Amino acid sequence: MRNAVFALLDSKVKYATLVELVKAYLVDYPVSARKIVSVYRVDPATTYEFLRKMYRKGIVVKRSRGYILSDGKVSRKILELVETVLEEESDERGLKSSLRVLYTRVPSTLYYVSDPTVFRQYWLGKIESPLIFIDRVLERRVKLDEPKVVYVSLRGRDYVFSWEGLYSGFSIVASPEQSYADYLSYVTKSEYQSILVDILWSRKLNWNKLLSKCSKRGLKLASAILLYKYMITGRAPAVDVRFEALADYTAIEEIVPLATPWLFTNGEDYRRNI
Amino acid sequence: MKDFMEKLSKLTPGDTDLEELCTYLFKDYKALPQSDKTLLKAHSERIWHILRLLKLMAEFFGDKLSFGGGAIINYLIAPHYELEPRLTFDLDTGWLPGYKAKRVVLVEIAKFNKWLADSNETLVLPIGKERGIPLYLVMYDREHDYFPQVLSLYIPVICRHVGEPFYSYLRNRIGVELHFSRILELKKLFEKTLGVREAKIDELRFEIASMPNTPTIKVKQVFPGKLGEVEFLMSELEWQIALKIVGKIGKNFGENIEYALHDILKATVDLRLVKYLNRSRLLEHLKNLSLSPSQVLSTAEKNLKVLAEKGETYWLSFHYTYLRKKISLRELVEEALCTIKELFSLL
Repeated sequence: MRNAVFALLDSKVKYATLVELVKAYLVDYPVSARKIVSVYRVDPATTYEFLRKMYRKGIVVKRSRGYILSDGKVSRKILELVETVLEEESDERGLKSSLRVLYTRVPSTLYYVSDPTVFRQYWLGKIESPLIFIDRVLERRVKLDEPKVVYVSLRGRDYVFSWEGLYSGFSIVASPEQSYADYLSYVTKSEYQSILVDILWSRKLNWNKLLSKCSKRGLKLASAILLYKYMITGRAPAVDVRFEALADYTAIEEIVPLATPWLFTNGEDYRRNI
Repeated sequence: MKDFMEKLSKLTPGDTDLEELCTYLFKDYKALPQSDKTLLKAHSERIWHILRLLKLMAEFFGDKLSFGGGAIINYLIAPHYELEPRLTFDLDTGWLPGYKAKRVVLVEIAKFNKWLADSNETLVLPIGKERGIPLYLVMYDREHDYFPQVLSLYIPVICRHVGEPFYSYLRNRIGVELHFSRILELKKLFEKTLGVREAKIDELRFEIASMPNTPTIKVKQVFPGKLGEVEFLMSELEWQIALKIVGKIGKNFGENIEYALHDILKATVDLRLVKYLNRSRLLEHLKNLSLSPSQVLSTAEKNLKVLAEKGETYWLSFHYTYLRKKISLRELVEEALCTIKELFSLL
């Protein structure tokens, strides 16, 4: 049954659009073509065309922020089909409680999961429970029994649908930069310190993107990381912000003890009495 | 770019600043031959940066840090007694609260960097449309940091004559390859602001040692040029000289004496200050620092003899350009020997 609708329709655009329309109907919040295109990374022209076609046939209706399934006969059938398939899929995948709710009911354009371990390179541990970000418009519509759910505006956040499969039970995951930024911005020191090694060692990280995704607190911590890393390694980061001025004393005091062992490895800190 | 030029002229000494500094350090500077004047002026740019660093560190760290060593003795104390300074290009400091591990000080250095950025004492070298490389920030000196109780650091600064050309420094040390057109653009800016196209980036080295029990005194000094007045804690001079006698001139280096000759020479030069110091305080420190005074004295005699015989190579270095005009190595060694003998006879 895996991606049965997708297999049936043989089109990513149609799969994405139908699943999103059904989930949007279930939470009663319209979905826009632009959002579908950016989250599912599908062809914009075909997506707009498909939605327009359904609109002409009366399957969807327009609302101020996008489209939503109509109450017509065909719409009912689509709703039943997609709902059944999603339920079957989550059974197959063994998704329970919150994961199931997210998979079957919450539009993929309105939530994402920050789990930096998905992209881990150096740290082999596992995050206790990943951070779930749900668009603030769903705050009253979706309630999850999870310790780390953040209701915020998802505008400007970098997350995508994973066509390749599930990451830690989720299909909507944030980019590495967004995940690191979220961890620095929303969790405590004891929770983000385990992923600090990836932030410090990663060579592919786009620091400009990471800094732009941070909250005020995250920006101070990320700048302190950059400042300390630059100070110790002497290699300048490729950023266009003045990180040395953005860090603050509290962030520096927090970061230096955590980052030192990762910047002086293999006992170098011990040999140099650092 | 306008902002960069304004900051650059604020953070580098002007021609008059260097002239003033040279006249302050080398009393008959104006009467020197042109070749010596050029050399001393080129190096005085580094001295200016050392004094600037001292001023900023004293301002930020206050009573936590004491200053001492060659730079203080030669650039602040020696001119005061009209003694000829030797050139030295590092700054020795002591962390008065003491530290067991260096990361305690690394936190403070990171904060100091933040403070420098906030106080507009750093310079961002524009290397792209939006991108810049922050200079004038304190960096950890991985190459030189190997003593457990001494933290080695450096600060990259822009100089006219000493250091590595800016584009090659950026490539080799910071890992940034500049586009040719950007190099040309920056060269034009440097020519406009500093008067040289091929500006250099020099690394000023300084050390922070763990010194919890150092005797210190508060000093207020007016620096020449735009550096202004500074108040800082200085390790007691008598203690510094006693340390140089016991730890350098009177230390038994065994077969490695030749590798230690430059250090002995530096200490010998600084020993000229003895006649201006508080004798009883100096003797007190000497007594505390030397386990066996007679052994220190005999080793000092031996070391100074080797210095007189084999120290010429170091003595001819540019660090002693000015000093060589006033005194010969033999005279310097004889003078030091007399001083040490006299001191130890009083112990």
